[in-house]
Amino acid sequence: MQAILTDITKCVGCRKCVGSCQSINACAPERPEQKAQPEELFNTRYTTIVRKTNAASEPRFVRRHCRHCLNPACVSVCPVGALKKTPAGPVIYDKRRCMGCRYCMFACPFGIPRSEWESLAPGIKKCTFCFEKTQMGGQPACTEACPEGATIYGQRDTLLTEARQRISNEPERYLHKIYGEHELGGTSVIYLSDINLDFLSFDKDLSDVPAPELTWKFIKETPFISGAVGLSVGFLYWLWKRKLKLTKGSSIG
Amino acid sequence: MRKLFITKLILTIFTGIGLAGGFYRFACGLGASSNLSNAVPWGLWIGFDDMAGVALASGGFVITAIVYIFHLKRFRPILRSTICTAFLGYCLVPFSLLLDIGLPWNIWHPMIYWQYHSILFGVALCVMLVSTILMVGFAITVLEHPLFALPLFQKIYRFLNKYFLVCVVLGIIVSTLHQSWLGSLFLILPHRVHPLWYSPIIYVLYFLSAVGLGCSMIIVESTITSFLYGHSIENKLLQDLGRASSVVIFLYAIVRCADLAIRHKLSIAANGTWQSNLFLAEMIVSAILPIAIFNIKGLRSKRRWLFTAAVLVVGGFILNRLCTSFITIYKPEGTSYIPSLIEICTSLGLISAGALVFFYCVEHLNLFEGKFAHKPAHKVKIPVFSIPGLHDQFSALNHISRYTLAFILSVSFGMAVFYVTTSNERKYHTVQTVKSQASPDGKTLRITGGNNRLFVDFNHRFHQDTLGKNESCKKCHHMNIRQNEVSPCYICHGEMYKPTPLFNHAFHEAQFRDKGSCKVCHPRERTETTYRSCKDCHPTMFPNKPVGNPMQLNAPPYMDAMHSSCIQCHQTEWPKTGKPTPDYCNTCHKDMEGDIWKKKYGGPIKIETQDSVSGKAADISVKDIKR
Repeated sequence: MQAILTDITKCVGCRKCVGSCQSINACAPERPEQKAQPEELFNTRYTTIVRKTNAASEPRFVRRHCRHCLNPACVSVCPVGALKKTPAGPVIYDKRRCMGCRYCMFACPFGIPRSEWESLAPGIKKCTFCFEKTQMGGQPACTEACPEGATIYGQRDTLLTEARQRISNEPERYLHKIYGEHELGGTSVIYLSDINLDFLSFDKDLSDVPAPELTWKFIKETPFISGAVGLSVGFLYWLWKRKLKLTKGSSIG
Repeated sequence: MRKLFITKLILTIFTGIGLAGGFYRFACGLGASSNLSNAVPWGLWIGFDDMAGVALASGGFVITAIVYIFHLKRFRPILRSTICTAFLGYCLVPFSLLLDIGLPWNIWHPMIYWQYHSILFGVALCVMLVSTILMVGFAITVLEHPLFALPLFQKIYRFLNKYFLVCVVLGIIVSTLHQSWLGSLFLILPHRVHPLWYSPIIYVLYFLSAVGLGCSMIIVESTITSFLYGHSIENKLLQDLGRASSVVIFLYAIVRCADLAIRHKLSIAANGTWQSNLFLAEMIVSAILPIAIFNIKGLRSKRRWLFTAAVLVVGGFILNRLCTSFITIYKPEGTSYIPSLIEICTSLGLISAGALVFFYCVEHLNLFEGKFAHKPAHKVKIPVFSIPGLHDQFSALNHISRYTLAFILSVSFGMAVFYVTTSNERKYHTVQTVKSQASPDGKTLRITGGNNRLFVDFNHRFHQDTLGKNESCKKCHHMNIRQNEVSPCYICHGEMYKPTPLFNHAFHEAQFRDKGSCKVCHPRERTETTYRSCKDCHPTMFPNKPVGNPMQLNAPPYMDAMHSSCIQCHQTEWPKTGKPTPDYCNTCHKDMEGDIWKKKYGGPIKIETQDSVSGKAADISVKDIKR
């Protein structure tokens, strides 16, 4: 399972990852109003740097992009299977299947997918983990571009071990939590940080239950619900008919 | 019949305006015609047309259950009209979806790419199944029309009549699923939907409210039809429906409050925020007031009160659906959503079109089981216009022509209004167009190269020559955004808007390796924002005098800005860096060697620099190079 480990304490905020991401994905040039919001994700910018301050009022830079959840909400809600979780890890998107319902944008707990609002055929845009590149054995453009080694690419298990190692080596440097290890069933993009990263998701207190479980609990009951409704409707029909027969339609009819 | 005429005229006008709005939706794109954004991906089209529309159409399965399963035959008079409205309501859902989804030509994809784990897939399947079943119910009414007297049609009619009970049972099952699945669309969104509207058993709430709402909707539509067409419906019938509605809504309110209480969320309802007030208002309008009215016999027996209570229920539950889908959802700071004019007008237009088709069915089909067949009114009193001549013209038209006239006028009115009000920034690659004009010296064109109303001087002849003479037009003008004369400069000069400046970080790093590298430029901390200005080390990098005329508030022409920065710097810095001195234009512009330079300037132009003119600083200005 491919993964990215981002160490917030190492990032200097050079935005090289943003630039290389845009050039490898051949993003359209940013429009002036998009340039004015450097911390926001757009359909022309799949990753961005959010500036925050830590307890010692030093600036901290948090790279925000698709988390590639292990059990992604966007994939589970897509009615046509345009979004797919590949066995290798990346969550990829196929515009030929998409019908543009934007349920994925609504459902994503991290608010990542962006619709192409300026287009006449708006699909969605999001980080795809440089899927073609990683399939060929390369690494994502962003990790390749990082001059500080703040964001690194590797196998998820290796990176988790590495993260735990770093925390145990310098326990005063980090919060003792690996962001993305357990939240929502785990994500492929994990963070080490000395500031609270809850602002990356809508929900300030993410549970460890994957989001799709919330609906699956209901969907798996569907056959029973429809069966129960059908049977009860049939039973009521029979009951009322019998009642009518007994009373010879005197009062009910 | 004047009220009928005016009602239909108003509905015709709304339909026309809605059609114009639909046209703009497809012509300008989703972003330009709606106020949807990354923060609020679902708006009025989903919340009102789909969520509320499907809930309102639930009257269909409620009434069939009453008549066919509970054998309450006295409700038969309103059976067919309710099935008809439910069918029309379901027919409007795909239309509103076509407006809402980004790639409407792919709307059939759920049929082939089955995704059983997606609620939306189930909803799409249910829309198709329920409309098919309702169509069977509606077909029975249609086939009674004299037009379908052929034996084949009669055979189908008898077949459908015989097996209609199967359809009823299937319809009830699928409708139950559909109503509850619409609610469970929000199950996966505990982080977006407000806690007062989110519930882990939201599907139960949606199903119960749909049943209650269905009963009330039957009251509303029966009252309106009987008011317009002047026929009477037994008051007892509607009262019973009202009482049934109140029972179900009471159950709904109990379940909803109990659910909130169990999850310790009930206190949020009383904390005085606007969401909690909205919640209380919604509960009063949709539950408390109607339950009270439906259960007080003195009020219930009056048609007016019955109608009021039913309208309250309908309004309250529409508000409920809107709240869940966009009003109270969590939005990132600084974002808001108010439906755009086009969204509102198309939604109204769709409903009006549905109502018009319903009135057509009332007038031409046997919707009320033979007890009532409306004769179309041909003698309609027309409003009197004071302008002589126009009145005669108007009254000379028959009633169909009048509707047609109103329709055409309203479509044109809508076109005009939407043309003015469509937001320009998000229109499909269109921006406010500015005509290019000649610069004061007459040599260059003054264009708004960034499409931001900031002008730059653009040397058209130069671009034409370098890009291949007559062949060159298409290179820029085919990339034009619509209705615009110029392509933005950034389409070719992409580096203009690159997030990283034209600065070779690695080179500087290597240069300062011995002197503490980072600290030279980032004295305090190593971040993107805390660097020393380039000017500190390279004082000559910036032109001393402004290149453009600052009084005209113009940006300097791109070439002038680049030349005055690059050339001056290269003159002074080249011995240190080992970079070439720009002796000739083609030192930098390597791709521009050859004919064009010879033809234009009679050979490569030599740029006189400090070095070449034996230590004497040559007065280089951009004007010289241009010439």
